[in-house]
Amino acid sequence: MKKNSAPMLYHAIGDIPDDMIHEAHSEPLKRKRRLVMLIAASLAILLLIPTALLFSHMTSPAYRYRNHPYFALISSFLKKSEQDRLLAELDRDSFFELLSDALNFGATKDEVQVSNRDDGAEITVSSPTLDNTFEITDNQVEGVLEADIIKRTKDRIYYLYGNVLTVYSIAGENSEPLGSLMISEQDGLSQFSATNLYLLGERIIIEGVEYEKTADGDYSPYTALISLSCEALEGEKKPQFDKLSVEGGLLSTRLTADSLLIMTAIRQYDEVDLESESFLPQYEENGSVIAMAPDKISVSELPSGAEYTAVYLCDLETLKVKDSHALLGTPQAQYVSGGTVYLSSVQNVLAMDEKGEPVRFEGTSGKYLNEITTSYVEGIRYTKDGFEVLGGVTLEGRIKDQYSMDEYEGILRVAVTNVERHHCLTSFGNRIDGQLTETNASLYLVSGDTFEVISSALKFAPEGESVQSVRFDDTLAYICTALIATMTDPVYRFDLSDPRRISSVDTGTIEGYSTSLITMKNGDLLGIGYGEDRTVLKLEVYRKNGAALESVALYEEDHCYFPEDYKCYYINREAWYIGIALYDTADERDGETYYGQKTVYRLFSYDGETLTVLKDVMIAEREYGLREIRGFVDGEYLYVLSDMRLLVKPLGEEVIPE
Amino acid sequence: MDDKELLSLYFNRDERAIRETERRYGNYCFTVAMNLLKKKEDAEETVNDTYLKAWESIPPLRPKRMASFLGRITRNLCLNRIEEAHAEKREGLDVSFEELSEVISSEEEKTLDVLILQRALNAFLAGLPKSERVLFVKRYWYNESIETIAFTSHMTETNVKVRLHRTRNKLRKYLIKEGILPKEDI
Repeated sequence: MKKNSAPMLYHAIGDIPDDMIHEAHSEPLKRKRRLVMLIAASLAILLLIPTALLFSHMTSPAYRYRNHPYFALISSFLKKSEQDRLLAELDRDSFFELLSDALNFGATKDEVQVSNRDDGAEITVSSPTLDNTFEITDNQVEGVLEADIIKRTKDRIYYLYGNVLTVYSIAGENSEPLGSLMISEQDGLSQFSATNLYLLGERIIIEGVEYEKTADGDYSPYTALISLSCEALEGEKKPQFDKLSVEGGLLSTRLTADSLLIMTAIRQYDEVDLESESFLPQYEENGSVIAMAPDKISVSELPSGAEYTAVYLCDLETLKVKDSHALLGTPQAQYVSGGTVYLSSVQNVLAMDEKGEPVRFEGTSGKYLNEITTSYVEGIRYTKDGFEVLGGVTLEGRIKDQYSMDEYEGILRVAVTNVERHHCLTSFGNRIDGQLTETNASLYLVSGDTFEVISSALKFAPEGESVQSVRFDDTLAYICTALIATMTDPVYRFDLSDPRRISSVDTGTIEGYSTSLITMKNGDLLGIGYGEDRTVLKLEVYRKNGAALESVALYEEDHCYFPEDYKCYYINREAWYIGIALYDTADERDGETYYGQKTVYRLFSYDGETLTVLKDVMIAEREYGLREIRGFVDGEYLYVLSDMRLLVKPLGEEVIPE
Repeated sequence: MDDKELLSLYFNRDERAIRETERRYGNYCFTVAMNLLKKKEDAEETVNDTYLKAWESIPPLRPKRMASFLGRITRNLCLNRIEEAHAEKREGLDVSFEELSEVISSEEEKTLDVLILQRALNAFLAGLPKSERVLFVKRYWYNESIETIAFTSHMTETNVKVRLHRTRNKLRKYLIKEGILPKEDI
C-alpha cells in the first residue's frame, strides 16, 4: 500500500462546503441520537437511584406489592419507573428532554405478550443421534453442537440460504441437488426468517425468528423451531413440518446428546403493566401461554426495565419445553459448557470508592464522575430434566462473545474489555457526557461453586486496548487485544494451570489484530484477522518460544474483505485446512495493482511451518454475501456452497490463482 | 436560542455566547474532536480552544451555519495538534488517512496545488449521489469509524467499506480526467 506522509487530501476535505458537512451530520442523526439517548437514560436512572431510595418504605409503591409472588421483579421495575417520574419533573431544556424521549423509545409492551396460538404441538423426533454428522467448523465445546447454515452427513449436504433449504449429494464431480424446500408464509409462519439448522437423527431442525403483528401495528419477535424429516426433503411432495415457538428474539441455541437449549432476548421498553403478566417472560405449553414462575427469574441488584435473557430446555424426543429460566437485565454473551449455561447481562454504573461513594475528581475542564461497565454472569446447571441455578458474579468489564468465557475443571474463566467514561460538570456550569471508551482488558478466574473470583489479571494490556478475540484451550488462554486506531495488537498466552498464579507471555505490539483465534493440533495458535488496515486479511501462526510468543508463519492479502464470524470458516484441525470466503478488490502482479472485483473461496493449508494457498474457487465477479458462503473438503474435493449453487473442485488440479 | 440570537451575543461581545455555544454545540464539537484525537483530555482541550477561536473570529465573521463553522475549527485544531505532536507517527488519524493515500500518493502530492485540488474535490463531491457523498464526508471529514457509519446508515460494514472504496476509485479517476493527476499512474 502506498504511504502518504502529507495528508493534503485530508486537509482539502476540511474545506468542503458547509452544506455537505451539515448534510452528513444531520442525515443519520435520528438513529444515532437514540443510542446516545438510551445510554444517557441508563446513566441518569443510575444517578437517581440514591434519590429514589430516600422515599420511605411505607409510602413506596413497592409496598403495595409486598406479597406479590414477583415482588423482587416488581421492585426493580418500580425503582426504574419512580426515577422516570422524577426525571419527567426535572425542567431540563436539552439533556433531559432528550432523555424523556429516549425513555419512550422502543417497542410497546405487547412485545412480550404471547398470543394464544394453538400451533405449539408436540414434535416427534425419531431416534435422535448425533453420530452421523460432521461439523464444518468445530464447535467451542466438544459434544455441545452449535447451529449453522450448513450441516453434513457422510453423503449429504444440507445448506440453508435465506429461507431455502437444499440437500445435495456428496459425490465428487457428480454431486447434485436432491431436493429443496422454501419456507414461506403459506406454511403458517409469520414473516419467518430462518437463521441456522441442526441435523438430529433423521430429522432437520431449522431455527429462526418470526414476527407477529400486534394490535397497534408493531411486530413482536418469537424464536421458532421447525422440524421436518430428512427423507421428506428429497421426495416429490412438499414436506410437512412441525413447529415450536418461544418468546423473544433468537440469541443462540445448543444441541447436546439429550437436550436442546434455546436462548432468547426479551425486551419491553414501554411502561410495565403490573396488573397483567405481560412483564414476565412467557412460553407455550400444550397450546397454553405460561408465565415463568418467580423462582425461575433471577433479579440483579440494579434497577432494570423488563429486559431478560431467557433460556429454554427442550426435550429432544418431543421438542416440548421441559424447563425455563430468565435473567433480568440487558442481554449480553452466552456460553454453554458440557453441563452449565452461563448467561450474562451488562450494566453501566458509577465507579464507587471503598466507602461506597461515587469517585469524584477534578480535571482540566471541571469536576468529573467516572462511569464503568460491569457484567453479571450467572451459571445455570442443566440436565436432561431441568435447570438448577448455581450462582452469579459481577465482574468489571464487558464480555465480547461466547469465546470470552470458558469452564474448565470447575473454574469459569472470563475475558473482558474494561469500559469507562467521564461525566464532566464544566466550569461554565454545564454537563458534558463523555463517550464510552474502551480502556483495557482483564481476565478473571471464578469458582464454579461459590462464584467468587479466585484470581485475575487486571488491565493487562496497553492502555486503550480492547479484547478482539479469545480462545481457551485447557489450561491455556489466548487473548488478542488491539488498539483499533493504530491497528496494532499484542497476542497474550496465559498459563492457567495454577489458577491462583496466572502467568503470561505475549508477542509484544505487532501490526494488525486477530478477530478469531484457533489452536492447532501441534499447540500452535492461528489468528485470523486484519493486517496493517481493514482491507488486509492476515493469517498468522504463533508459537511459544521461551518467554515470548512468536510469529512463525504469516499470510497477508491486500485489498480484500472477509467475514469475521468464526462459523464462516472451514477449520479442519486434523488435516490443517482453513477455508475462507473473500471479496478481493485488487491484485498485485509484477509490482502493479490491478483493480477488479471478485468473490472467491480460498482454501489454505498449514503444515506446521508454512501457510499455503491450496485452492481458489471463483464465486462471482462482484461482491457477494460472504457470510452465506461455506466450504469443506471431503476426500479429494473441495465443496463450496453459495446462493443456491454447489461448486465442486478437485484439490489436485489447477490451483493457486494469481 | 437559535443561531441568529447566538451570533448577536458574539457581536455584542457578551460572554454568554461561549456558554450558549457549549450548550448547543459542545457535544457535537467533542464528537468531532474525539473521532480524530481518541483521547478525552485532548478532545476537551481542543473543544475549549474552539470556543476561544470562535470568540476571536466572530465578529468580523458571520457564519451561516454555526455547527459546520465550529466543527471546521475543531477539525483544523485537531489536525494541527496531531501534526505538531505526532509529526512522524500521526497517531489518532485512524485508518481513514491511509485509505486516502490510495487516491493521491505522497509522490503525486508534491506536484499538486492545494487550491486546485480543493476546487476539484468540491466539484467531485457535488456531483456524487447524496448517499455516497454523505458516506464520504462521514468517513473523511468527521473521521467516523466504519462501525459507526454502518450503524447510523443502516448498512453492513462490508457495504460501507465497498462503497467508500468505489468512491475513492471514482475520485482518483476524476482527478486524472481533470488533469490534476498524471495519466500514467492509473
